Amino acid sequence: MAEQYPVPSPTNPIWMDLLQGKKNVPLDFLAARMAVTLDRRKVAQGGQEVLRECARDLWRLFNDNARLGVVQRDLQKLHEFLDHGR
Amino acid sequence: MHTLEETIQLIESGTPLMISGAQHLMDRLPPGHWIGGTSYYFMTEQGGRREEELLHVQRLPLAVEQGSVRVYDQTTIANVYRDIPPGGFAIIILPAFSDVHRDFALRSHGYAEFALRPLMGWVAGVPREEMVTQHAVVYDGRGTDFQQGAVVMHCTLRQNTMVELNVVNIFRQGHGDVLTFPEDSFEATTCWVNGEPRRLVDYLLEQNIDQRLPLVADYMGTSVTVDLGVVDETAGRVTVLAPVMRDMVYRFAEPVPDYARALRAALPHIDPDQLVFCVNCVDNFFYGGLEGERLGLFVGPCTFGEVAYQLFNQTIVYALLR
Repeated sequence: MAEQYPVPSPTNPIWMDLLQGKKNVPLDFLAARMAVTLDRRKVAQGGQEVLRECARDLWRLFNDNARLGVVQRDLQKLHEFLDHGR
Repeated sequence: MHTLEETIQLIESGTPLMISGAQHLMDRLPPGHWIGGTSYYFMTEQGGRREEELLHVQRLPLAVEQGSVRVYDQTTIANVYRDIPPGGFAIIILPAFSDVHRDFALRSHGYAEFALRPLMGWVAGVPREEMVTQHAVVYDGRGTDFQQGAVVMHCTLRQNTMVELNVVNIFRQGHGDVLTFPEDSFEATTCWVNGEPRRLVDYLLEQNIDQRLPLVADYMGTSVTVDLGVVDETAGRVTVLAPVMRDMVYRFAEPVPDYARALRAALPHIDPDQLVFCVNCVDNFFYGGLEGERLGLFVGPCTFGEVAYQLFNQTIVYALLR
């Protein structure tokens, strides 16, 4: 699958919002499901630095796997949230 | 499934291989470019069966350009994700009930670069009736076997190909009480039931819980199951076969009336040319009555744990080449 949907920048608030549970996007990418669920535990007990670190890791997960079809589908959902708040 | 002689020929051809089988056969394999582990139960094209005279051989896909083998112990396993080459993937085999298995199960999500690149694999096992007396063994085809080390083949892929990992789990959280645990552990003594502190043993007995049903945590739509192992009423301790995780919300699974049918129904339609890896939990084999049952393309060893980024139980894990 061609990369139609770019990965939002590492500083985009979407990554922190996902980790804090402010945005509940139904992700399909298995690695992202694992990472977000487990990182939410870390973020709940850590400070801003932990949140920033986890957000950076999550961005990297999407960035390194952006060519996968399942990741493109998730990126499409993230862009819909960013564009329309859905 | 292959005879010992056929497997030796495949090894001698130089193709990178993942091999599973009974220890008496695995011990006789020659050095070569392969990794492996002991397994006694298999899903085959002809159906599920216990098998001690044939070996399961998985050839790595042609898109694999290079596969290098590394062995990890409890002190080095934390590097396993970081060592996967960019754009590549890795296959890990861990011996059941070893220290490295335990560490990986409890701590893998804290290892550097967790899940950044695909890590798939399985836990080598023993015959069911010999769980107390026999040890699982994993093999580095260069000529060494281990009861305490994990063997990993790190693979680089041809450009424009990637591996996608998936998990099939027929269990979903039920609608019963919420259970949480105070620490990441393979042993559960105390827990909170709907926020109230309880001994898990007491709760299981009082509620007459069907102990064949696993605890289930929901990872954004993916069920992560925890099988109950030994329930020691005297010690007040429940040994679980995959760790419970602190602060994770668990519920006992919804009962599954026809296990084998549910498993078949949960399997996706896939392109056989894309399937590069498949393992099935030995609990599915036994609880699902899979002896003699077919699961189509989903053949491979029945294992004591499955790895798709992290350790799973009671799942089928498979990988597709994209």
